Amino acid sequence: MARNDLKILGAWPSPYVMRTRIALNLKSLAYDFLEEQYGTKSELLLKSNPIYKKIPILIHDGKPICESLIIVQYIDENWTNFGHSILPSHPYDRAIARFWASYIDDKWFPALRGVAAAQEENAKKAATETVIEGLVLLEDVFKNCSKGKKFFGGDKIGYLDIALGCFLGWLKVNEKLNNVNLLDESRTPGLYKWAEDFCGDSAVKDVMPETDKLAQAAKYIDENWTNSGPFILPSDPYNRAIAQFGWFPSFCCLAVSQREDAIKATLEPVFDSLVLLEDAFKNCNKGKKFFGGDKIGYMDIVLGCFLSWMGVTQKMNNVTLLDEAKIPGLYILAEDFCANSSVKDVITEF
Amino acid sequence: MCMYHSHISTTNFGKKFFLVNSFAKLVQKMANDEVILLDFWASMFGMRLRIALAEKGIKYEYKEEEGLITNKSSLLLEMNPIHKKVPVLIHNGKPICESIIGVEYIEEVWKDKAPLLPSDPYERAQARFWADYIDKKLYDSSRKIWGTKGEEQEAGKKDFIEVLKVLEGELGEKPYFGGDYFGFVDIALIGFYSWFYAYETYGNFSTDAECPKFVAWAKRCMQRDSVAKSLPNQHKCLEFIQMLKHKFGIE
Repeated sequence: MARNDLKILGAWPSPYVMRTRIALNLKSLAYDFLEEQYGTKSELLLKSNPIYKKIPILIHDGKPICESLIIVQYIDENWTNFGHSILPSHPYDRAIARFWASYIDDKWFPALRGVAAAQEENAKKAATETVIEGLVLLEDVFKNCSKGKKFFGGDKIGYLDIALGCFLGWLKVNEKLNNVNLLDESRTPGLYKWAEDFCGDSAVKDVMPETDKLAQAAKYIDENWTNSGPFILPSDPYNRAIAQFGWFPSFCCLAVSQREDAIKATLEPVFDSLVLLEDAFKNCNKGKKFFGGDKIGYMDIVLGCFLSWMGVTQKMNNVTLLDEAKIPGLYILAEDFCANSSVKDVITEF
Repeated sequence: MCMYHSHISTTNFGKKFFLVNSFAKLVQKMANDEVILLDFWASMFGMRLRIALAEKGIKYEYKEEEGLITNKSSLLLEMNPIHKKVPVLIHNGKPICESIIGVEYIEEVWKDKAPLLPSDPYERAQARFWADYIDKKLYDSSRKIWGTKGEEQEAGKKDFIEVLKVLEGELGEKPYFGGDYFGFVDIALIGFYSWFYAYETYGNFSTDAECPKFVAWAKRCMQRDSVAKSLPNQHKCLEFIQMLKHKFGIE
C-alpha cells in the first residue's frame, strides 16, 4: 500500500490545528506538519484555502480539506479501518456529538475569548459566568455520553473529546492570565478528571502545548488567528503587562530551591517572561520612562520591588537576567526606577 | 401483526420463512417510526429538512411553530432548550437540532433511499464545507438587506452578491452542486431562494442580472417535487418580512 501523502498546514498553538493532529494520531497516520510563519500566509495556504485563507488545512495526495471538524470527519471516514471510530456509530449519538461540537464552536469558545476581551470588571464577570454555565452544561453532556467511561467517546477519545479538548491549553492560559477559575473540580468534577485524562492521552500529549509556551504565544495568536481582537491576554495593555508579570515570583522561588542542573531550565521561562514584559513595556510606556508614563505607576512598583531579588539571583546563579542588549527597555527602566527619589532610600542595592 | 413463525431452519423453506418474517418486522418497525418536524413555514432552515424527508419518501408530521416570534411553544422549549429555535426533527421522541445536523441524521438513518451525500469521503468533505459556508455567510448578509438601511444595507447587499458569485463559481457547469444529482449542498441552499423576491425588493437588485447561473440552478431545483412542495411562495415571504419589519419597528 502506498504511503499516504499527508500534510497539515498549521501552527502549533492553534486549537483547531490540534484537532486535526489528534485525529491523525488516533488513526496512527504519519504526516508532514507545515508550520505557517508568523505574520504571513504562504502561497500553499492561499492556494489550498482561497475561501477563508485559514489554518488548519489537511492536504491529502495534493487535495485540500478545510475546516477542522470537517477534516476530523474526513479522517474518520477515509480511514475507517484504522484505529477506532472517532464519531459514534449510532446516528443519534453522532447527531448529539455534532450538536455539542457546534455549540462549543459557536457559543462556548467565543465566550471564553470574551473573558480576556472584556474591558471592565462587570463585562469580565459576565463573560466568565457564560463560560462556566457552558461547562456545567457540558458536564451533563459528559455524564450522558461517557456513561461512566473516561471520555465523551467512551473508552477512547472521540469527536466531542477532540472538539472540546483542543481548547484546554487555552483555557488554562486564560485562567492564569485573567485570574479566573473556569474548570473547577467541585463544580464540574467529571470534566475536571476528563481534562486530565485527555491531556495525558498518547494521541494528545505531544500536540498539546505547555501552558507557559502558550502564554508566550498568546500575543502571537491574538494577532493571527482570531477575528475579533485579543482573546487570551487582557485587551488593555496595562492589564496585559500585569497578567504576564504574574509568573515572575513563582519562578524565582523555584530557582532558589532547586539544584544547579535544574536552575537553567527554571530560569529560561523567567527570561522569556522578561522578554514578554519588554514588549509590554514598549506598549505601555509610549516612549516615556516608566510603565506608568512619566511617573512611576503600579506596574513599575510591582516589577521594581523584585529588582534586588533579581540581582541576588543573577549573582548566585551567575546568569544575566537584566541583559542590556536583549531587554534594553527594562534595563534602563531598572536604572531609572532605582534612581527615583521615591525609591532610592527604600530599595536594597543590588 | 406478525403472521409468520420466527424459527430459523436449515431447510430452504425455513430460510424463506425467516426472510419473509424479517421483512415483515422491518415494515412494522418503519410503520412505527414516528417522525415529527417542528418548523416554521418561512424558515429556510426548516425547508432543508422538509426537502430531505421528501427526497427519502419519509412520512412525517409537520408541526407549525405558530408562535415562533412572540410565544414559543412548550414543545419547542423542551426539544431545543439550548437554542430555542426551529427546525427540530423529532424521531421517536428524540430531538435533533440544527438543520444541517438533521439532514445528516436523515441521510444516516434512511441510508438505503436516495443518497444525499456522495459516497467518496473527499467529495463528502467538500459537500460539508459548502453547506457550512452557506451557513456562515448567506444568512447574515441577507438579513442586512431587509433588516437595515443605508450603508449597512449596501454592505450587506454587496456581501450577499459576492457569496452568490462564489457559489456560482463552485457550481460551475454542473446541473447541481452535487454534480449530476441533487444533493446535500443543493438542499442546504435552495430554501433561501424563497426569500429572493424579498431580498430583491428591499435591496433593489436583480439576482438574474447579477448571478444568472445561480438563478438557472434554482429554477432547476424548483422543478423537483420535493423542493416545490417545501418552499413557500416568494410573495408570501415578502409579506412576512414586511410584517416583521413593522412589528419590530425596522422600517
